Amino acid sequence: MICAITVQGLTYLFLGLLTIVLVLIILVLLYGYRNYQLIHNRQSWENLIEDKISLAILEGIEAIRDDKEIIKLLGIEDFQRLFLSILIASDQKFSGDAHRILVQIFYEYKMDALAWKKVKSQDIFKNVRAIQAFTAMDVEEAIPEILSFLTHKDARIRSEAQYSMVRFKDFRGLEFLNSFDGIISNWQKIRLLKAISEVPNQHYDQISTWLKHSNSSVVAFTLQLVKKFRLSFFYDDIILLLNHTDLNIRVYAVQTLQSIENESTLSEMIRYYPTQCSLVQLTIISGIRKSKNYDSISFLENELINARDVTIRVSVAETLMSMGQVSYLKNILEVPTTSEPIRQVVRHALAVKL
Amino acid sequence: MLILIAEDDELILKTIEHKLLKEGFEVILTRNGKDAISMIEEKKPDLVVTDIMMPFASGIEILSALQEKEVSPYVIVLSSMGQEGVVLEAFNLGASDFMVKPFSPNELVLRIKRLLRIK
Repeated sequence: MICAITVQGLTYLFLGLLTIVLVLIILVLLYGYRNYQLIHNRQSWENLIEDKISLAILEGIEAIRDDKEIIKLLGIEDFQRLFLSILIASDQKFSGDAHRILVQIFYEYKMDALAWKKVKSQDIFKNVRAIQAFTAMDVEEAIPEILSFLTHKDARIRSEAQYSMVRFKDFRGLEFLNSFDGIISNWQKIRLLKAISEVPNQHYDQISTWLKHSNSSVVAFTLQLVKKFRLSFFYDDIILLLNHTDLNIRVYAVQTLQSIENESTLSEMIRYYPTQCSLVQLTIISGIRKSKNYDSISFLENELINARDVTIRVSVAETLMSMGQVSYLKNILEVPTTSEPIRQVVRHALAVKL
Repeated sequence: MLILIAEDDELILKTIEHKLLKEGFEVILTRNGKDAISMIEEKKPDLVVTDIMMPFASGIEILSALQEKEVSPYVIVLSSMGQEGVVLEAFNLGASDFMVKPFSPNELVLRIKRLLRIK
């Protein structure tokens, strides 16, 4: 009897487990099918949206005005999101008349209303999307709203707001740097610099202030701004930065000085060289190599023999090689008192194709 | 006149294609650098419009390959990378023109016509 109960119990247990497994399999299949549908839909929606945008760029907004296909699909939230994403991404692809068509599409299909809804949301990603949409589509009415995001607690929102301000106001959009105490990422630096078309000279006082900012990230960005626009006006301010406590600032300062160099740059680099760490020294040598200033030859020859850091010796030897000092390097090998470490460095430089 | 477009962004590819077809050009499309090199050898287009960043072979590699194979269509490089180094490298490898994205399709057509000496 006990055996019978046990067998029965095990059978029910087995059937129960089998049922659970079957239910799980069905749920996984349904989930997989839904994902497949989403991916398939997304691909066909992308094709549709791109075809319509392309047609509008070719024939004008009238070609897709009141398009029934799009109007019907705009009732689906996923489609709305995708449509807005593609419009935003297109901002980085097209300029001129084509960009004007994108803006017309944005308003024609009420993507502006969607963006305004997103900007009021508590969801950070929606806020970011809204800022991107307003920026890409030149919605100037949104500027006050975006300004308020410059001090948002979320770094992603602040970053988008900063970029947006520069897109709208060019150089004047950098005002946020005056009181900025965060870090400007390399990616952010690149896109801010790309978005600035000119530096009006009535704003030079601001640049001077930023070069003395307590936030190293602001100083670093400003150096890259000076470098991009070759603002030789700030040469003396940047020389002072060769004494900055932040190593990265000193490296950027050397690179910036080399981009706005004058007849005294080489002598100043050589003057500051002995007190700098290896990384800054390597940057100085790299700059000499690019400028191929033959007044540096005796300095380089001295460093080849006396530098203690082997990476500096290698860089110096390669620089001498690139400046055609082959005879000098070969002569070093012939001097019996030349040490083996220096011989190795010189052989390397002579063998490397520069 | 035959024009080959090498571009992995579908929207840009479609837009340039439609624009050029409307202007009366014949157009070949490729979405990666490796196919572009083969098609250029095979079809010998009069002009190539190529992106820099593409799968399998970049626009720079396409230019290098054209130099090695001594095939010489006009080449317009279209890129979001407008740094001086990239531009110089493209011209040193034989590019006829360079446009930075975001670009104007109308301007691209004008530059193509200028290179092909079409009014």
